[in-house]
Amino acid sequence: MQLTEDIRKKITEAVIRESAQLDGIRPEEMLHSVVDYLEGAEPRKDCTTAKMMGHRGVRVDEEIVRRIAIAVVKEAEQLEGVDPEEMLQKVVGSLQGESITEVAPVSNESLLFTGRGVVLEDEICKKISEAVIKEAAQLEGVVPGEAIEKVLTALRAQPTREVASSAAIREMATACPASAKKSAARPASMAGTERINPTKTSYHGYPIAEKGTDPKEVVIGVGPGFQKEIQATICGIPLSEVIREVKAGIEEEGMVPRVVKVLKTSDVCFMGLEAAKISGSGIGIGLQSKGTAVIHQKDLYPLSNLELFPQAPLMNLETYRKIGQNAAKYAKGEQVTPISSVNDPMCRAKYQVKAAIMHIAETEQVDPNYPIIAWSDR
Amino acid sequence: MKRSKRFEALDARPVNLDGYISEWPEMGFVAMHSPYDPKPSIKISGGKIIELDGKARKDFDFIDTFIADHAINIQRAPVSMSIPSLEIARKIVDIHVPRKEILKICSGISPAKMAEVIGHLNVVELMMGMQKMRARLRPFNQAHITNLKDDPVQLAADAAEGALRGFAEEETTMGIARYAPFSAMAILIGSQAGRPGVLTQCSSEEATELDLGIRGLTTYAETVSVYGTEKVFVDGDDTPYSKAFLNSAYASRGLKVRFTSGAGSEVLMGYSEKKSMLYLECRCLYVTKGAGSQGTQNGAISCIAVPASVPSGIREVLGENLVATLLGLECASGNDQSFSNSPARRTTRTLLELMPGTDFIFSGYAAEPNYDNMFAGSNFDAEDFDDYNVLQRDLQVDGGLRPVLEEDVIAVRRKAAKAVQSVFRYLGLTEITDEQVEAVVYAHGSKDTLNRDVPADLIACEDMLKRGITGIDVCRALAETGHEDIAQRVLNMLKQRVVGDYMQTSAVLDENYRVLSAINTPNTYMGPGTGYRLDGERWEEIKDIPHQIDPHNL
Repeated sequence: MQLTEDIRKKITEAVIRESAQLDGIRPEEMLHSVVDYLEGAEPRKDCTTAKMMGHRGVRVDEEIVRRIAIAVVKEAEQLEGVDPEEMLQKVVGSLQGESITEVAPVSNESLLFTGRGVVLEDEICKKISEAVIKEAAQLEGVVPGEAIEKVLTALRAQPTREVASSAAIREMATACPASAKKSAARPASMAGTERINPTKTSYHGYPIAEKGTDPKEVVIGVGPGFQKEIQATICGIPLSEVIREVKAGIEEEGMVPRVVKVLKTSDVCFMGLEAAKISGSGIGIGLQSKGTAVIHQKDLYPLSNLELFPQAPLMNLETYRKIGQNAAKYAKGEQVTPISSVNDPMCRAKYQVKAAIMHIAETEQVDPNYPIIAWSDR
Repeated sequence: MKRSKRFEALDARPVNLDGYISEWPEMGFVAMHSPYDPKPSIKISGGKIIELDGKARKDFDFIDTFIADHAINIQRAPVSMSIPSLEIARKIVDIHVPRKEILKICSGISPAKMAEVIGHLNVVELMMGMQKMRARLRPFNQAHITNLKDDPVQLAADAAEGALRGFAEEETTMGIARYAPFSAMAILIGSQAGRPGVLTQCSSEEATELDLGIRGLTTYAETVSVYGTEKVFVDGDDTPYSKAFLNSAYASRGLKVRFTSGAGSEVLMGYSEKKSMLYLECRCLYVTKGAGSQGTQNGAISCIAVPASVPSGIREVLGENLVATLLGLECASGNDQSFSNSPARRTTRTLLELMPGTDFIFSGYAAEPNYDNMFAGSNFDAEDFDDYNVLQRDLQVDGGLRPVLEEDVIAVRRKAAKAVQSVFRYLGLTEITDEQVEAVVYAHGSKDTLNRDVPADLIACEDMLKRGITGIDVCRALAETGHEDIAQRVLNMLKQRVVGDYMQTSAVLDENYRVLSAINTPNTYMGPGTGYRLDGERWEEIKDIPHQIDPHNL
């Protein structure tokens, strides 16, 4: 499509306006990218826009590529049958938005590296994901969840999804508060604004969660903003993956998970206790949208717990799975070895303000009229 | 834009890893003054406060009611409220106005007026105020004693070393909450092995903490948290009245208690009601006073990165410490939580309390490496011991610690670890091997120690509670296994609960169990030549650091 001057001008304005709001995005580059996209041209290889992650607005600079590369090589070296060099090439290629022609899906259901017959089993995916999350969490301007998606997509040789509209970029940026500021550009002041999300989601008509009777049941109580206002934890792990792991952990131990959304409180201990109270086994898990979790039991004091995981930035999918497993073991009445404590004394410096903002976004959704509802996660 | 190498270098500095946010009063991200803070006022009718800070009694929330009924001296209020805030601020820094007079004035002002007074003081004036208003004559320090494995042997050894290094109070907490009985017992034994008279507490869920206190496994409590808005109180399943009741429960058993509050908690909980952190903390401290607590642990505490993210936030933290002292409360002044990647920032933040001196400079200096600090990291840790000792020596200030000899530290660590080993055996708890004792004696942190059998420990913890084991059982176990000296010291700590003198404001015990408090050793500062002066034996002790050049040995 050829653009008239008028349209060009309007798009220019809109793009600059939009991208000025986004961390880590340079307006002029975004402009090139959008215009190219609309005109159906190939992305320019000569500007750093080409290095944007799939043109989705996250700029991947040399330092980011280098650090992710190190993480990938380190992981790949541990894996049998995987050539670190090759894996690296795929990952970097994907991050820089290059097409991946030399890799194609081979046999039946399994996803293979061309010519090498390396099966990307779940275990391998998991390990690589963790390595990437760890690296990405350290990097400004990178949303870990997205970095994983890119990496796994590249490894699985699926074409990268291209999204370039400003609306999509904006949606992405707001959905992932973990995406951090890169340049020294100052964000617009929020003074005068009374909410983070302009409107409150109504849960009118949702079924109130009933008390369960199945002694095999473990209830997961998620926060008011879960998978609605907030889609990923404080370190960018998609909530859909978090909930999948917790449930898988419970099922692995032969117990039955049920997910409810607690709307009467956003406090993790109370959420856990509410879940425990309606759980057939009396064991519940509280899970805040920023990733903080607790295993609770119906007859404990609210601020007591069986196990508490207070430092959300240190959580990974493996820990979420173990939380599910341990909760199930408590439900079975087994002697449980609690998950080893982890500690990062600098966590607070880096994450507490983000935690506050995410918690405010969650607390805004508290609604005592619908204290606890059935929730089918996606 | 082509990037400047200078800016790239600056961007990579640790200070830029910290979180900052511009002021956002609607969400409570504002340190000293929010446009939504109320104007100061008190109206009295029929012996009751009928209006507080612009709000009529019928509109009071439970915090307003509690403050109006229990925290303000009504006889004093009309006069105090009529003194302009600026004049009160000036009196605070005026060396000719004694502490007692300031306390009298401040007993009759409202929380909003208190915030206004603090707003007039710059950071040096706040320090001047603190130097005069601190309750106790001599400043002391408190340690965090924790580790990643909740290993009771390491807790005991670190508590003993901490006591030897000068900490007057030691606080523990757990990675796994159910370890609480072991942890409380371990630091009780360890602290007394290090230096008689050190007070200990176990920060845990409130009912558990009270139970451990009643059993005599701890000698004070600190985790009685209060908040500046009603909604946050409710979220914590509490009210000012329930906190006052809890305070009385401790008092009835002769235990020292201080409350906890600090800037940023309401922001972090999502219910700041658009008020400034300072104003909300003033409300907390009035609740603390109204509930009859002798003191507070404040200075943002675990929410420190919130005030630190906004302009004038660290000034606010010292400001709220000063408010505690203006209300006559003991102040354990924070510094207990990491908040910055920048060494310059974290040192500066601590100097604000170290230089004027507070009742406890830290309400938790990590006496273990920070990776073992289960309060998620303190502002200073075991690796900063020598830095801290040198700071005291450089500035000639008393920060409560002292240089120690390696052989002395090894000796008290062994004494404590062996005592805990014996007590565990005597009480039939889990096994502690000689190997583990040896590893702990020479350890820096839990990376150097053996792993414990966690499920077995947790069964034994539960068993210990079920069997009703108390401080007296610990005493007996120590005495029966050849640790008579520590047994006697633990017994002396239990006796304190009957005497009760250490429940007075800002009390600590010296090594002869003599109480040093704001009653028998009050702060008498009134300018140069008065108050606490670091000299004599204590100054010699601070001067004598290791790593000095020996002219005979060049």
